[in-house]
Amino acid sequence: MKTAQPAQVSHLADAPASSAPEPSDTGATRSNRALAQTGIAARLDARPIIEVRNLRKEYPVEDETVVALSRVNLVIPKGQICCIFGESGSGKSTLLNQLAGMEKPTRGGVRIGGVPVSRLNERELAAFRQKHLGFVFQSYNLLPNLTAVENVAMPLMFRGVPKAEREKAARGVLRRVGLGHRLNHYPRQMSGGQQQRVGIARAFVTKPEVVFADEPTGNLDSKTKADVMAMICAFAREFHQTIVLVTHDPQMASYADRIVTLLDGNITSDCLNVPASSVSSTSPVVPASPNAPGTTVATGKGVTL
Amino acid sequence: MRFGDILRLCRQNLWRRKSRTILTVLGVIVGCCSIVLMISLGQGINEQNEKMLKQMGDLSIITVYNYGSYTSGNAGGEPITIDDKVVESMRAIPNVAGATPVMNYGYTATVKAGPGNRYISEWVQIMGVDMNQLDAVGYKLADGVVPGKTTGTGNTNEIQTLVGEYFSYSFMDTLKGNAMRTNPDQYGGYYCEMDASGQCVTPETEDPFVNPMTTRMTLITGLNYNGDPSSMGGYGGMGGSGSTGGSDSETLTFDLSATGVITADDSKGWATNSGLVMDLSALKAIMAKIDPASAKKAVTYDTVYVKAASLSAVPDVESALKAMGYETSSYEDMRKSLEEQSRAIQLILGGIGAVSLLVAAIGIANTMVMSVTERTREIGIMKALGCYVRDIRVMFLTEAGAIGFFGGLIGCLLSGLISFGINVAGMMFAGGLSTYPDTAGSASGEGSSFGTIAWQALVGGEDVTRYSVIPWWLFVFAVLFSTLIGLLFGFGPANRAVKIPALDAIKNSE
Repeated sequence: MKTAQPAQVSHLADAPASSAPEPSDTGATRSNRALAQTGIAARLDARPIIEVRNLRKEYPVEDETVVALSRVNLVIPKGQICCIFGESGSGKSTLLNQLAGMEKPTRGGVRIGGVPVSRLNERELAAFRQKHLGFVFQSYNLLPNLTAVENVAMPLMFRGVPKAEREKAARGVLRRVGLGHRLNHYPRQMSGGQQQRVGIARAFVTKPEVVFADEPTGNLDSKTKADVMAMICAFAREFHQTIVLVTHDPQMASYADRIVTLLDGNITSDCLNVPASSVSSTSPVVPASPNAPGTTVATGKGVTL
Repeated sequence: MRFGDILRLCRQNLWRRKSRTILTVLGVIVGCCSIVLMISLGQGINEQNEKMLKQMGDLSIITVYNYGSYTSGNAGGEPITIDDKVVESMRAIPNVAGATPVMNYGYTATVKAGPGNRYISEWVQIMGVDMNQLDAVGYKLADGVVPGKTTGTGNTNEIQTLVGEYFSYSFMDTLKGNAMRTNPDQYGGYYCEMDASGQCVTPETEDPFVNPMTTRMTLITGLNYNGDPSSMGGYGGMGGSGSTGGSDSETLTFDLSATGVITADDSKGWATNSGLVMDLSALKAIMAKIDPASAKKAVTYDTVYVKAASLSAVPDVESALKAMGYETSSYEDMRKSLEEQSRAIQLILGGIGAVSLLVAAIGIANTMVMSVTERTREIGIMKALGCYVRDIRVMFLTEAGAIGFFGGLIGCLLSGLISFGINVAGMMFAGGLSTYPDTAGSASGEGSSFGTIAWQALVGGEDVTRYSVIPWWLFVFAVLFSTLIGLLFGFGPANRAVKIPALDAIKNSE
């Protein structure tokens, strides 16, 4: 069994990126130039929050082994909304599972805020998820016997926050996602869009550094999709949070600062994107990708695949 | 996670599948009920046995016999005798509360009382004991004090004595055809007379002719005394073989003064019932007067009553006495066999109850397995959101434990009610048939009120027979045991729950 250093877990914010990658000069310069060219004030922290090194994942299927991820290297800086884009079977969900520590990689490793999540044991992972990660799921994954408030308050309950305090926080977030009138409704009494908004409130109630969103709009109609994506992005911008968004929908990918395309377990393209939503917003956000090979800057919906 | 939150979640989850939870709890209720009731029936048998033994007398008394024989245990081959020294050494045995030699007066004696010696008690049994050991051996006085504690009248011929509890009923009225008064209690209640229709009827308690405590009595005895001639007619043939009445020269008369009444206890001599109990020295004085020759011999005793300090000490004391070479007898053997018997019955009954509790436990396990299977996804979500594995385990264990706890609690309440019902029904049924007199009830008339019966069914009493007895510890034990069973059988499913990977929640399956 691999052992981890639990001490690091509690010092995530101050943890130095011990294995900080050597930034590729050309890439960084080029992207800086690109920023300068677009003339948008940089808001991003250059420090990477997620680092993926030589990640490989194989699954045994009967006598053969299927390679889901062959050799993935990825660095996501703090505050970035990063979309992992790909067809089904491209390995994007596998990559998300590795990032969130749901599965152990075959080779390589993942660090979030300097903490080697791929080497934490179950208890340390639980503690890490409580403090630093949020999740938005495709199928909402609300607990059916809990009300909206109780669902949102659940991550705080795991931390041992008293009932009154955590439900006050939950109500606040729910009002922000526009569900102030549905606080005590059960999931079955709400529409898909409302349920997903509860899911978003739950992901953000703990103010995590990183939020993983796995096809958050997969079950929604196109109008609701836009609402939900806008909501996720608004939270991320406001609290300077990092979002890892997994989708196969190009329209959803266009909300991201950066689009990483996966095909057959390899990154085939990694490009910056000026999100459609932020172009018209009063506080536009500039995407940056200091360590992405072959970085290109795209504007609007001009996604390079 | 706070335990309060775990409890709240547990309540919500149990309540979500209301009917399933209720049915599982019902199973535990039945199991708990059966085990409690079965044990309570065993306890009832125990209680009845104990009562039966108590009626027989003092259970901690060991009677030591000596028939003057060469006992096999005596290596020296000398005849074993019991004298004061031996009695002293018996008192020295650990856990012996007291010991008194017993002397039975071997000659005929008559007690006369009343005006003109109208009332007469024949063949009075006289027992001599060590009055200093009276308390230690467990004799109780119903009235008065021990002889020697009061100053006599100064009459040298006066003998102080205790009278048996029912001694007063042994007097006949010589002026009324030797009529006697009866008290059914004298025979432990098992006494009846045939009425006109041939039915067995317990007679009413009558007042005795004399009160020995206030009446002057005289004791008449002698070496060849055969009883009072005035009453011989009533017992035709008894004074036969040509010796009607003893010769006056050999008949001695003593003044008797009763200082107290001793409570009847057949295990410590029949004289406590309707005879006289004197100090050894008083009895020896009488014997010395009527037979000076034999009195000069060394005094030995036939019987010694040894009282053990507690019931549990009886076996040890008895074996120590046997080791000294004496024959002994006590209720210990009987008590032991009764106890073993009731323990065997309790085990069998408890086993039957345990089987149904086991079935209930399997029900708990089944419910928990179902619950874990149903909630696989939820558990995955909770783990993905950072719930500790420990909390998930505690959550499921709490649910299983709660089913066991509430099942046990309700089961206890229910079995308490059923036990109460059994006792009330038993008392009303048995009370209507039995000739067993209710000493308290005889004064208040036939049939106790329902309130009395209910109270007796609940707490028991001196004269009531309870079929089902639930001691308080049985309730506590039953609730704890049910909870424990729930936890035990919930452990497997809880461990299954914690092994569910968080990944299941991430997978986009509806």
